[in-house]
Amino acid sequence: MLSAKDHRLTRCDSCGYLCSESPGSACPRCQHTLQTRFAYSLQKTWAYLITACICLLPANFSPITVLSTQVGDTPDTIMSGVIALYNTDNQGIAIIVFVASILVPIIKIVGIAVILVSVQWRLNIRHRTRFKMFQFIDWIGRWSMLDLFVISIMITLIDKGQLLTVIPGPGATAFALVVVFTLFAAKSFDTRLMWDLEQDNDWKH
Amino acid sequence: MEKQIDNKHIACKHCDLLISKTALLPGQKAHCPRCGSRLYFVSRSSPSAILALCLTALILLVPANIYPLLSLTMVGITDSVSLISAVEKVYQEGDQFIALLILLCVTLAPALMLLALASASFCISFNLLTPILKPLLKAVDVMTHWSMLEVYLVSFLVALVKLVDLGDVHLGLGLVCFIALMLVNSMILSVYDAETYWNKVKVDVIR
Repeated sequence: MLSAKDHRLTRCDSCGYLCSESPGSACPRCQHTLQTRFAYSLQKTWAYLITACICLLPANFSPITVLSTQVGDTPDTIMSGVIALYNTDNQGIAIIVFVASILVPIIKIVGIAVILVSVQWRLNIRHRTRFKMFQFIDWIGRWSMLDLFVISIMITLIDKGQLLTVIPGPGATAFALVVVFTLFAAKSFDTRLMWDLEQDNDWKH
Repeated sequence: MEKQIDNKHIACKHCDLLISKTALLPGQKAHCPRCGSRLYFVSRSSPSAILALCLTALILLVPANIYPLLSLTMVGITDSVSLISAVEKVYQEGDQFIALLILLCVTLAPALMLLALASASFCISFNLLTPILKPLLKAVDVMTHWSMLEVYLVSFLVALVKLVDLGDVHLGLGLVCFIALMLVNSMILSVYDAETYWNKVKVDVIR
């Protein structure tokens, strides 16, 4: 099976038009600049991934919300929030929050890193499996926004002045950055690079 | 290996496999034989049906954003939350970045996506193939990626469970509109095929 690239054809990234123009020129249908593969796809993906990794530490260890009452301030990290939910008999919800806020970002970062390494080192993984893995990672990424939405709802509703208020902590911003950078990482990875490897292997055999 | 190019071939977005197109019946979908991702499909809905759905969603978008989703009575004080007021509150608390991110994902992206798709469907159904079609279709693509209505609905449920124990909770009109908006939005996404729309755009160079 041959790729469009082998026929010296380029699919426009923006509109999907199949062009015979050389990369660098404009797509005849939508004027988007043509490129056979995303420029510096692996480098960009690594850069976003490393940035996300750095933000992951403050996101998990500094308070994501601070509950203030007359008695004093109680900071809550993502994990302490999950544990509190679990202890108040909301196990189902605790699991949803744990998966969306803790597991998903980690799975995403590790998963994309594994895919990048396997592409760069040309490891022999079934291409379809690797592609399915990437699609899954890409799909779950948006679900980590969940915690931020929950925070926005909570701080709006629990605002009783001196008595009881919830405000977002520094961890929330770090968490938002993790979500955004992992979304960018998935977006900047060119899945076609995986299939280019397959063709290289076919020729060797 | 230069190949004559025509409208009968397409390349898979995800694996770049060159494929010759076959005619499909409405409702049928074409998948890539190599990577299995969806290539194109023939929608059962015409652009004018999609236009109608987009207008419905745009009408729902307004009350879904401004009417309260939920109100909570605690220590004698009632506070209510709507999509917009939640963003405003986060903004006031000093987290402008988070506020803008939430605004983008639940209000701006869905609104712009629906507006762009409605305008594009309008142009196509009335055969007004203006140059504006290109930026519109590009906007639909980008905004679909950032639109996270379904995630917000699950977040809402999580918040609801957290709040139920704290005080009296009342669901608002905004929630009904929001759920309806989410359903119409998913319907639109399942019947809209970008490939069909892009094929209506005139190509500058005559081959």
